[in-house]
Amino acid sequence: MAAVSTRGGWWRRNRWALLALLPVLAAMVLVSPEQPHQVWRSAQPREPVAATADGWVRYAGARLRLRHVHPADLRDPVTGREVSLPAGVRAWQVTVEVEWLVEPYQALPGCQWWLVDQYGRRYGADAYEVRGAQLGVDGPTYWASECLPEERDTVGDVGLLHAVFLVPAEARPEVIQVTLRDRLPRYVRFDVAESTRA
Amino acid sequence: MTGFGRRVASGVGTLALLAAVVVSTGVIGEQRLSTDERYREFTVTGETGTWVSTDTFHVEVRSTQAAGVVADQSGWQYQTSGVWLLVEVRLVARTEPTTIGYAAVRDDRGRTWRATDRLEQPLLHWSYPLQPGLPVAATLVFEVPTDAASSLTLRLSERADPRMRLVVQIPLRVPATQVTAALADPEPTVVEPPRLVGEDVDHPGWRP
Repeated sequence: MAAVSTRGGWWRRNRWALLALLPVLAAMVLVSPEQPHQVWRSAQPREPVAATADGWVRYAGARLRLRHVHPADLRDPVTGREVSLPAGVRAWQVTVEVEWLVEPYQALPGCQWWLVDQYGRRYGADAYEVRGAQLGVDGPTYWASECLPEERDTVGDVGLLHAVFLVPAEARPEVIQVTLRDRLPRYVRFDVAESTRA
Repeated sequence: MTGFGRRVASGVGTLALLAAVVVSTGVIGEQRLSTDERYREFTVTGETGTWVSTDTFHVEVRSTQAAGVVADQSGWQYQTSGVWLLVEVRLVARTEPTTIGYAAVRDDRGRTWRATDRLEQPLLHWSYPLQPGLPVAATLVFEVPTDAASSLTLRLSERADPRMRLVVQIPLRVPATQVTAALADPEPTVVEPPRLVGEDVDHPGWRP
């Protein structure tokens, strides 16, 4: 009887079975009814929608373009005085042009806005302290950045959307994101150029 | 060892391995962990006066005060048959906006009390997200029996259901003498709303 080689031992004898485990495990993830990859993928904004050459981004039922990002002029709606923020805190106002491609109230319902600074920190809009403030001397009262249209807006109209962020004074706005939960992982990404940052 | 001997030894070894798998599976199955045990939280422990970090926020307990009567900003007073505990904290998000969904105290007998909802506590709603790098000073208010007040540990987490989440645990220092003195004082302690303290750079998240 020929001698059985024991070099490599158990690993050598089972190497093909071990190698076969890799595609089996991969297939298990891919065909699982729980769809773990899809759950992971759609949990975060991962796929920015490409903008056209003139900066417009088509997303959900609207077209969006970043107009400007500038320090917010927050006013008390009753007295008209500036809202004072603690030292070390800065308010930024983001303004985006929007063209409604479908019924405006069905275009971007429940959208969320995010500001990303130079360190990669991500801030949400609508800080508690800025709700109810007036944007500028003659501006609208700000409650939340909900992507809601003006009352009379219809399909084809172009309007403005605003969002206000509170950030540390040293934070510089680098990216603005607009997300819709049911559209993730796709999202709107505006890189804030010097020309749009006042 | 001959070839026949090696095959016998290999067969015995395989059988032993299979038996070990079956036995260990049975042992694990017999553990019968409860749902709470299987999904139990991960804890990180600190102490008053030092910053404690989770994966989403940093928190520091500054002080704890007992009170017999508390009042909100409108002057409305709240009595209790136990004692009010006011825990002064500073909080800051790490890299993403976050909220405090779970705030409770637990005594040394394992009894747990959630932060009171008799008073408005905006920090404990979704409406008050913490932002990265912007520390917030806040007072968390708890209503507890007097016999529990001196053996409490503060518990905070991002989600309302802290299972399988990081939970900060910080023992509170409330001497029994302070509880007795607070109950004898009829003057209400006013609960301040949360406020940004941007000038405070003494926290771990102030520089990325």
